[in-house]
Amino acid sequence: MSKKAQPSLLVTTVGMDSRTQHMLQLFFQGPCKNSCEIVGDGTATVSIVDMDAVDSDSLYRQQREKFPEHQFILLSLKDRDDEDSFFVKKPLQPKALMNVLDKVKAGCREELKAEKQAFVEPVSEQVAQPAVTKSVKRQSKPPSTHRSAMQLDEKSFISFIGALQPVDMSDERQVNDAHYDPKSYLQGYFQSACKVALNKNQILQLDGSWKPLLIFPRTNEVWLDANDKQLQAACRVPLKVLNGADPALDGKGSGMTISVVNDVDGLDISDKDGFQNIDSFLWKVSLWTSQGRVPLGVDLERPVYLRHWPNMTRLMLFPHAMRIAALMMEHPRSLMEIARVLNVPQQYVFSFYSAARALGVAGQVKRQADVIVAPEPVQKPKKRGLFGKILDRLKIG
Amino acid sequence: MSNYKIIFTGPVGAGKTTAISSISDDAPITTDESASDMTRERKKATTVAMDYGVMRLEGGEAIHLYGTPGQERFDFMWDILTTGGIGLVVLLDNTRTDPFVDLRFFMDSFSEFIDKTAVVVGVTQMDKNPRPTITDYHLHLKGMGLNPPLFEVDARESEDVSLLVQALLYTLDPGLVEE
Ligand SMILES: Nc1nc2c(ncn2[C@@H]2O[C@H](COP(=O)(O)OP(=O)(O)OP(=O)(O)O)[C@@H](O)[C@H]2O)c(=O)[nH]1
Ligand SMILES: [Mg+2]
Repeated sequence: MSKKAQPSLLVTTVGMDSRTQHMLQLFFQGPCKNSCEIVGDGTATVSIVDMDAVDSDSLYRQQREKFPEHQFILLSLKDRDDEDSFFVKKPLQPKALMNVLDKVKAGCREELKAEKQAFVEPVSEQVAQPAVTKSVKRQSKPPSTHRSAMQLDEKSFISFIGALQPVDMSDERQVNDAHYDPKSYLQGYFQSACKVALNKNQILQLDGSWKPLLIFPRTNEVWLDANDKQLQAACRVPLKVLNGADPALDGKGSGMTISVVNDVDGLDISDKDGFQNIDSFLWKVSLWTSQGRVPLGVDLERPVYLRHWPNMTRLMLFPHAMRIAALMMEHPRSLMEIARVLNVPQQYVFSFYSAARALGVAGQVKRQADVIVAPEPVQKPKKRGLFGKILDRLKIG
Repeated sequence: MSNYKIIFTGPVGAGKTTAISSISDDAPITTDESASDMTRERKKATTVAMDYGVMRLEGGEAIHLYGTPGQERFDFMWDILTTGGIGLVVLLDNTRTDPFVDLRFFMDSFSEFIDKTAVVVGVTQMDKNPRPTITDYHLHLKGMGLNPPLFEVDARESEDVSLLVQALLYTLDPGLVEE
């Protein structure tokens, strides 16, 4: 137990609402190491007056009349030069305030004559203009592209990933099954059309096996006349099958055409719910297509990197996505290692990587040697228990 | 009792008071006054000293949420507030004239604290002003040698604010699991 220092200055405030006082209190407890304390008028020997408050001049005069023996510290944005009082200019600098408090302390030591005064109701209430109550409620919903995206729980995520068996790296078939070719699905075409539209800064329309997709690079939006359920279903079907009706198209279906849209007014996009943010769209399309797999050519044992955090508040979240992102941001690790370090099913990590790669924020390092070989496990900080509880609380809320 | 804090900072009107209220258990304390001088043109109420909120945790612990005043006249508060802080949440308002100046200012002002802990950035009001984009912010952060979690956030949405704080915790410890 540390011995609490006896406060050498007992202070009262004038023209300050109780909450601003609280700020001063923090200052006294912190930098001043409890050498000052805010008390009622009756026991104080020092008055701190906020001279920027409404009526501050008359409040100051009244306080002086009531407590002529007080020492006075005046705070103001404007310079002042009052007799018999100290002045600290705002913005308050800790050093300046501290200096003045030291001077006041020295003065007090000489005088030592704090007489008890009758308790007087603090005058601050009528001065402070109370807060306009914060209304967290909004008047109207923001456009759908600026709303938080859905969060999937474990059960619904697994339902579209399917099996969660760990991949046995020595079994070629299992390794193969953990891969898919985005170009065999709508994903590949959605992805490259968006890329072209963004690079050329042109409105594009993608037509083909399914519904047309419109891409608006300036607003970072796509427009599609389909709900999530329909989109998810279409994502899972290989193009070969989607194109099935047309024998002229073989396999890695072209059947997809990209055209530049010059006449925006001619588009039938009255359904505003059809708009979605490009990243949110590509992210969920690749989650649904990958079904817990990674794109062809990705080496499960070579480190992958995350260029920066994806904009998680606008993406469809699934279990452990935040942890995977945080770990990838530490330094590159292989997908297998990420799953191991975090102790989560590999398919979650594969899903995350596929989606982040579709957004262009993730990739694989060229050679093993490109990575600094970093110490393996994440060290466990002391506060883990506390952090875990905060998380718990945040996720319920 | 433990005294862990998360600090919310950012320019006037970025949504600090709103963000704290949207995840605080108790009605938060704020020291808003009707905005005066230059602030008034932008909004009705501004925080002059600080915001305070609390998240109560299982087992009686609590995490304290402090918001710095958006106006700089109480900037000495910042030192005090960050003592015992576990991390920083910077909120930026996308409708401000130059949010990148704000970004740099707050990253610089709190650089010592950020070095010791962690930082996340939330960009608010993107529904009103979609530009600059999140990618633009990443570019600027990169130029400053930083790469923190950076999300579009509507301070009125507890889900958004919660994710931002979660990212802060996972940055401090990716291995973290719920208790
Ligand atoms: N449209 C929109 N409004 C928002 C968003 N985030 C916050 N707001 C609103 O912006 C206003 C300002 O928010 P405050 O919480 O008072 O901002 P502050 O950072 O505490 O401001 P100071 O105390 O003056 O520094 C409030 O009316 C919020 O409801 C957002 O993403 N979009
Ligand atoms: Mg405020």
